[in-house]
Amino acid sequence: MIIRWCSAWVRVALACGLCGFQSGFLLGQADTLLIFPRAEISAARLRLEPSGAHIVRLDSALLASTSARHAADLLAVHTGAYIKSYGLGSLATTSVRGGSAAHTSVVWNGLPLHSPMLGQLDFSLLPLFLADEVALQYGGRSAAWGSGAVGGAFLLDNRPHYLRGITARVEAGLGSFDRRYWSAAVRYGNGELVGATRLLVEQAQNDFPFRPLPNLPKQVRQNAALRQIGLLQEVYWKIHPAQELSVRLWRQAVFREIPPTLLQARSEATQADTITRVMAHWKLTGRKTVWQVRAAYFAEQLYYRDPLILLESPSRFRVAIIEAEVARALSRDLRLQTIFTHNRATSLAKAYATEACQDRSAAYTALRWTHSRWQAQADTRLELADSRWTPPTLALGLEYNALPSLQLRAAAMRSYRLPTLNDLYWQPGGNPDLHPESGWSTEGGLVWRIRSEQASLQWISMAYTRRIRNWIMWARKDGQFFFSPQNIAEVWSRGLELRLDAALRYARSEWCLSAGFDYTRSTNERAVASPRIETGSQLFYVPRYKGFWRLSLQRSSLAMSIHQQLVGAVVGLNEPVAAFALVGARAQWAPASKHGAIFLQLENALNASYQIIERQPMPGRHFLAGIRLELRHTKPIEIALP
Amino acid sequence: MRQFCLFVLYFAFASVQLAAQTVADFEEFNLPPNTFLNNAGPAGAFSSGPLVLPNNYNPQWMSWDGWAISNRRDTLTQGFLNESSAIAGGGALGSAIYAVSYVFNSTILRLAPHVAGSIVQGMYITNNAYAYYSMKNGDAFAKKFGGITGNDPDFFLLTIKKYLGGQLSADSVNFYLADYRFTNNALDYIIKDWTYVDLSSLGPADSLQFTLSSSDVGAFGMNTPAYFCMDHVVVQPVSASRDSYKELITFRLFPNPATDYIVLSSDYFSQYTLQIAIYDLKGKLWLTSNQPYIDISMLPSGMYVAHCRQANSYAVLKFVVR
Repeated sequence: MIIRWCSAWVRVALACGLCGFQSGFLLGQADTLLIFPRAEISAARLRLEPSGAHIVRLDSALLASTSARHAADLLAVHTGAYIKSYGLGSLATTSVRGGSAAHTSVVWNGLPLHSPMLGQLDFSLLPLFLADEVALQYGGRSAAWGSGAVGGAFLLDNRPHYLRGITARVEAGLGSFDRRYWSAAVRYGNGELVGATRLLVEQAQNDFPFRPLPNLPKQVRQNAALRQIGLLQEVYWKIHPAQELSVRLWRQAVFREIPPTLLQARSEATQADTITRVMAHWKLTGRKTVWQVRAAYFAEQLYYRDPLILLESPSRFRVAIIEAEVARALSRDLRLQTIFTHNRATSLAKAYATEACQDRSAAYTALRWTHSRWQAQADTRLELADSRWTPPTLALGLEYNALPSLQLRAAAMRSYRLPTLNDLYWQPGGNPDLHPESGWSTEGGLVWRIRSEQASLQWISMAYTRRIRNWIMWARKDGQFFFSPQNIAEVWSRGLELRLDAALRYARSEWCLSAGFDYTRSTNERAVASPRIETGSQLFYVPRYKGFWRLSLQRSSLAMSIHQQLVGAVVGLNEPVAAFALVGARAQWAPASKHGAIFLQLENALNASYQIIERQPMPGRHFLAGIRLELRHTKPIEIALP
Repeated sequence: MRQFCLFVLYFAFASVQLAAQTVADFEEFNLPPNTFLNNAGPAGAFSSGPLVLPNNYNPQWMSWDGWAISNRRDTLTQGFLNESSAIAGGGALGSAIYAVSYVFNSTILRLAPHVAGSIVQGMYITNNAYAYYSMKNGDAFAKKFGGITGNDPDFFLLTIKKYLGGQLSADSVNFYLADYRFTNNALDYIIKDWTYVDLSSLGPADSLQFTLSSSDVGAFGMNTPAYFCMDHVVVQPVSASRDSYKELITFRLFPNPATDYIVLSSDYFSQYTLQIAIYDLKGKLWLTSNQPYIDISMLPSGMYVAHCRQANSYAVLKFVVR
């Protein structure tokens, strides 16, 4: 037995070493047939697919065909999330269902990624290349994902893809504004042990021309260059047909220049982000029970420099997470998932007096009952943050299949967001007496699906309402000359989400149409003096309307798509930002051998002049062309789990 | 037109006759080179001659508002790390030390108890480097004045009012630290030199209130950095009966307007050394003298300020050269 274990560890080490030296490939779909027992599938996904929730799942096929290369672009084009982008390669944050940037959790293989200092993540630093699947869970998911999942949760997942053999993919692209990238991935294994290495190198000058005002001559965007390199190393080891161990290492270094605003003469500011994420995951699948343990260490450094003002501002954080999970099929109709997690975050910035630390422990339990046409789920979470209990968090979801083609959904949940370390410790202003934001939200809607051999149609209508109290806002107290975070706001968000997905197969062609429209009303329910906010006013940078559609055609070796997003006007901090509409298109040709593809994509095809953030110009028409080569030498394997 | 203006100025300044004045120039702070004193300690205020300058320092956060004292001369560095330098470089009239104010809502300048109720004749004002470059070039939060086209009617305004007997006056003196409201953009300016601001119209005061306003305002308030610098504050007691001003000296300057010479007279010329320095309104020093008769034939036409010091008395007299 010992020899077998040693042998296995040697194989892991070899796999790591090989993967480390192999650069120049990318993932391919493995020819793997996994036969999982039903108990595991349904029990483990209570948190991933909660009943009654509105979830948009963007799988690897879509990721391979979309024009988006980063999470920010993806969410902007394919979902109702509003992306607050400062420009190509610049900071991009989200607003989902009228929430703030800190109200969207980002979860990587089950563990939260967001910065404990800011409570948010820069979505422009999430290359889709490093993920196999992504999903956006709309609505309050704090019961499942903890603090911050108020507006929604963005999930990135990597999949094992057990294979015997090797797959490799290399992609290179060239685009406007001196944009160049190449990526490579290799995955190889012997059926039990799989190593995968993904490497991404990208750079762009982003020196696009723009016209600051319609009647003024064009200028060129200055100091906007981007350079980044990313590596994801994965090792999956099927210790036993029922037992799996995986290790993932995500390293990313990004250097960005910070361009000036339209009302700034010049900028020499730069920002360097260094990201290290390590995760180990052990999983044991029994006949009715799945045991999992996850451990992770995330470390990020951010170095902001501005030589013009002699500013050097380094900051860093480290997060250690340990999580144990048990999922069990209690009966044919009843599934239970329980998770205990502990999270320790430390961070240091110039503006902190000392290193800040936050300890959080939480217990999560989900119970799902499925019977006939009904499915109901209850999630609860108890969290202790720095010896203070957060309010018990409950989520209830219900689905009812009224007809074979019609499903009714409803959910009610409590969500919360803990103060960030900046909220607590930033000097001046940090307020250690802050309470968590919390509130209830309810949602309901219907899903209508029809399907035939040639066509499918899905229509989703969801409506929601959410009130968050103790909303943390940086404001001035009476007689205080600096801003400090206070629980002074209350925000009421409500809206409507409409989605249409249709597919038609006709004469060797496959047409797909995805469209969506979001109406979002997110209003301050209490007036605030500074910042100047009136009761009933829409939140800053939350559009009332967002629409998007994408039409794609696949015929033989040719795939083409056209997409558009329409974003309503928003209230900026200094002035309103006008509505805009962007059209993009993509064409891809792949030979029948499937050993590669070439593609060309066009963004802002109508050359619209627009801004997302006030005073930050956005690029006009620009393109990206690329080539992808794939290599596959695999043999089918079959893993039958007990 | 020019003659008309000079005629008006003549009547405005023809009978310059000032009682003894005292000046706060902060030079007594004896700061080491390149020092920014933004913590007044337990007193909560700096004192300089007839002035008390409240200071609110938070030791936990090392932050401050109100007044600070500085002798920094960095006129090149942009951004908030250079909040401590006057853009003119050093103090007014060639001095080393000056006061910096960070204005939250308003900043108060109190007259010391022994001169409460006196008239603040005037003071020299300029921008600090942070505010100056923020308006000139813009920054991540504030706009470049003039906007994209240069035509935005931007301004950065210092408004000064007085308190007397606990009452805030309705009258005020406005001084534009930057003014881009001119139709002709060539006239747009941001104050870069020490500039004399005449406050005598406010009359007797116990304290002065300074507020800043800007055309660049967002949801979080004024985007323009809320700073200004001050030096050479001239205070004229209203009553000669005060003990500390028994030696009341009356200065007279004539002719005004002048062409070739001016004469300064006082009651004590023969007893005490007279020091006279003549500046233009931008603070440029043109002449110094210790004689009452001064040849000004080389001065270009315009308005000038004569700073007269004798014994413990001080006066600032404006005059016009034709």
